[in-house]
Amino acid sequence: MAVRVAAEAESRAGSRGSGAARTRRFSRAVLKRLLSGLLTLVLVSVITFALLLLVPGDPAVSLAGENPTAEQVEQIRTSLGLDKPVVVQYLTWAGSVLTGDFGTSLYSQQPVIEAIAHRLPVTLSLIAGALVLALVVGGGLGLWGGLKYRDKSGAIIAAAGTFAMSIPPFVLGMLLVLVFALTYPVLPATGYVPFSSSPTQWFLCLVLPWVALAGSPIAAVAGQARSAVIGVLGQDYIRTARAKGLSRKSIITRHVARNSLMQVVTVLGGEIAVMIGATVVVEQLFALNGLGSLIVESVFRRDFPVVQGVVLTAAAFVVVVNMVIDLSYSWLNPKVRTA
Amino acid sequence: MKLSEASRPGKAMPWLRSASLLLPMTLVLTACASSGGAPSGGGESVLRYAHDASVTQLDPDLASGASSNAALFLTFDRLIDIDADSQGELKPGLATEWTFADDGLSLELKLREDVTFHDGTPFDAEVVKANIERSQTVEGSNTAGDLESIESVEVVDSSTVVLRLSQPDTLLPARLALKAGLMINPSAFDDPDLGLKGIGGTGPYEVESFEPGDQIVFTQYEDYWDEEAGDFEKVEFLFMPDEQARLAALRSGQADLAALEQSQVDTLESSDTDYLSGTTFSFRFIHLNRSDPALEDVRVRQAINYAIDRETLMSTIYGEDSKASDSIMPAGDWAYGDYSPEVLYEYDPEKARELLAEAGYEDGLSIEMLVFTTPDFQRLAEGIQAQLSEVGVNLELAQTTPDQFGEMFFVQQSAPANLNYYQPGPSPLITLNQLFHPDAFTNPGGNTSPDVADAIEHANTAMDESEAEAATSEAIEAVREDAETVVIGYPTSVIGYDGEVVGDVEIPQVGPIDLRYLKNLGTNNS
Repeated sequence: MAVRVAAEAESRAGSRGSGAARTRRFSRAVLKRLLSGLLTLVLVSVITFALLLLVPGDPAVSLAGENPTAEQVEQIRTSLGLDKPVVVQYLTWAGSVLTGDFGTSLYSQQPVIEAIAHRLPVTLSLIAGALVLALVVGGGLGLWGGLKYRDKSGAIIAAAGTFAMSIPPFVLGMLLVLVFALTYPVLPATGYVPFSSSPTQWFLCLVLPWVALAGSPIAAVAGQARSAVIGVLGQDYIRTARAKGLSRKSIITRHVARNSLMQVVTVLGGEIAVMIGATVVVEQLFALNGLGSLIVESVFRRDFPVVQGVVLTAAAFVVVVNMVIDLSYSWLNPKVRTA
Repeated sequence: MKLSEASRPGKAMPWLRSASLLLPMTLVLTACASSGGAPSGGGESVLRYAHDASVTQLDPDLASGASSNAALFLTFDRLIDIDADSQGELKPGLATEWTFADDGLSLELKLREDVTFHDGTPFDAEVVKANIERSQTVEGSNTAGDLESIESVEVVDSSTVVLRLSQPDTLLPARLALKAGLMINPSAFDDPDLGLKGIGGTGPYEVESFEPGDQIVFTQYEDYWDEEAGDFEKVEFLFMPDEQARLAALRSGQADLAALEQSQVDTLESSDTDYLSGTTFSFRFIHLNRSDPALEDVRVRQAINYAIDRETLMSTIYGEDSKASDSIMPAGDWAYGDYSPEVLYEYDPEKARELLAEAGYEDGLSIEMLVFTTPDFQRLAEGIQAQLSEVGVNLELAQTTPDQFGEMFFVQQSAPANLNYYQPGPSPLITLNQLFHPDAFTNPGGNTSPDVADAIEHANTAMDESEAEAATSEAIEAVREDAETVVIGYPTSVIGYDGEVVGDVEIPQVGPIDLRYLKNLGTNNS
């Protein structure tokens, strides 16, 4: 990283070039990312559709009940449009999506949008909380470990991180339930209470799932932050800052933390995608009926409109997060902005 | 809408701006003071049931799978009920009496008076007529097959209705004790809220809220005709697919009643949790497609039956309380008096090898079997695989799920065998019809031995009860003798509960767990 970064970061507020030109460049960058994001979503929907076709299973058979007749199954298949050619099925679906209609579940007749709207708060609460934990705890530990990297405590943090990273969420989750819900019953083992009904219950119900989901990302963030901090500490501008007589506190907050953040944010982008995957397991473990459990059930039932809806939601989430992260680079590091 | 609540914790993100990294480490562990309580409040008595299967649909004619029955039966009443205490005998529901005419071509139902739907509409004979006609015709109906024999419905007076049949159908009352007998308020027939909100029942509980595949909250219906039922003010039906989560919820107080598994009995014992464990009429069996070139031969099917050591398999996988058996009819007192069959297929690998050699398979044979991915089915399949390999049968296991196997096994017929379970209805004749009737969708290949097919047909159209019973018994034995299937045995079911909250918990022999008559012990007023 260039020596000049810190100086540039400090002059961030000052204008460089004309404001209008910068806004134009910025919005072009946003537009480009939006377009590539859309393309990603189209690809994801095609791949999801193809994957569903590869695995056997016909919703019409399960829908026909315990004592079906062959005609009944055929009738249900026709009424759901499952007898049409695959391409027609996909295009019909895609066409309605373009008009904002994501269809209805083959099983419940509930509009897919409603099902997702009901489940999304659960999963978003889960991911957002785990993300905050990963950033705050992981970042904090990493900064501490980096600052103390020559001490014993720094080495212990590094070793603990490697260990923590290798614990899968379901193992951590089961341990947490065993200790904090069964042996010392201080927190509920299962369930979800909407924030609007009771913020306290919402928080208490989510503590264990958050920790279970954040365990490995905390370690990943801490590791990345630690090495970033060590790297930054070796930079000339830190020596300069010290020589200038800046207080230790302001060196850490204004230079070390800020300049390490970019690498941490990059790691976080990857971790979010991993976390979305892990919610499937964590939701089952804590009986949280969010998007993860919705998609598991829907995949098994071949409830195609719901599967597509959830996959698209998750994909859109990842696309948006990555876009935000990309754009945040330019906030964290003005050099990227001009590139 | 709710999105904004959820994104609120995200607002903690502005710490980025101040970058004060060091303080938040203390944030995590300060909130553990109060214990986790039930989501509901307000001093009401609540029963929270952790259910193992999801309910997606509350329209009785569209809801698929037996797993939704436990919820449907809380809010909709059936014409005829099943007595949970007496091994699945039929008892009055919305109909107090049912009598076949002498020629067997009509069934007269006397209806209970003073029954009202949740919106106050009275229940009467016209309602029954409308319901049967709807079940027979509504698009996507999965009860139409159960009511096929009904040609027309005649309203005699407001509390008497006569079902005219195209042919004698002794099973009809038993089927009216399942989904096909559920009565819906005709004003709800075309209302999407029937399926999405569960409106339009007469049952002891009304649906307060329903989120497909998640949870259902029921509230007591105060004008219910049977005062014994509906003792709790609220029933929460919580869907928890993971059995560990159900057990944890029960032990840490987020559920009062939970469907559990045999493998969890040790934990229940050691943690002093109340539970019931017992066999039901549900059995594990290998469903065979007898049109398969090898399985067409009765000797091959008998050989497989002889090659399986049921006692060992059942006791190792389902515990000492489970019962090994080779019959689709459970031993004991069900339907037609005491039944205690002699074991026909005693474990005898030598005999199995002989039979296979006779059938021309002295060099062995390969059979593909579909198996559910759940742990107990996997273990059972591996046990069977090991035992069959002793006699030269190579069982290839192919993975499937309960939602998938139907397509693979019944429609595509991609494998000739499926390790499955069967949960019988209130009559063994239903079992016979579903698994062995030559025209049944769930009898892939339709190749049923003439003995069995004739006996089933005879039982279905018998004029009087004793004739039907005799024919059914005959069919049950013919199924065994001709080795139409491979029954392994009757596993145990386990229900865990909090004995301070809920009383009168029973494991029903037939049908789903019955939450209607559970007693409120008055300690769960959260």
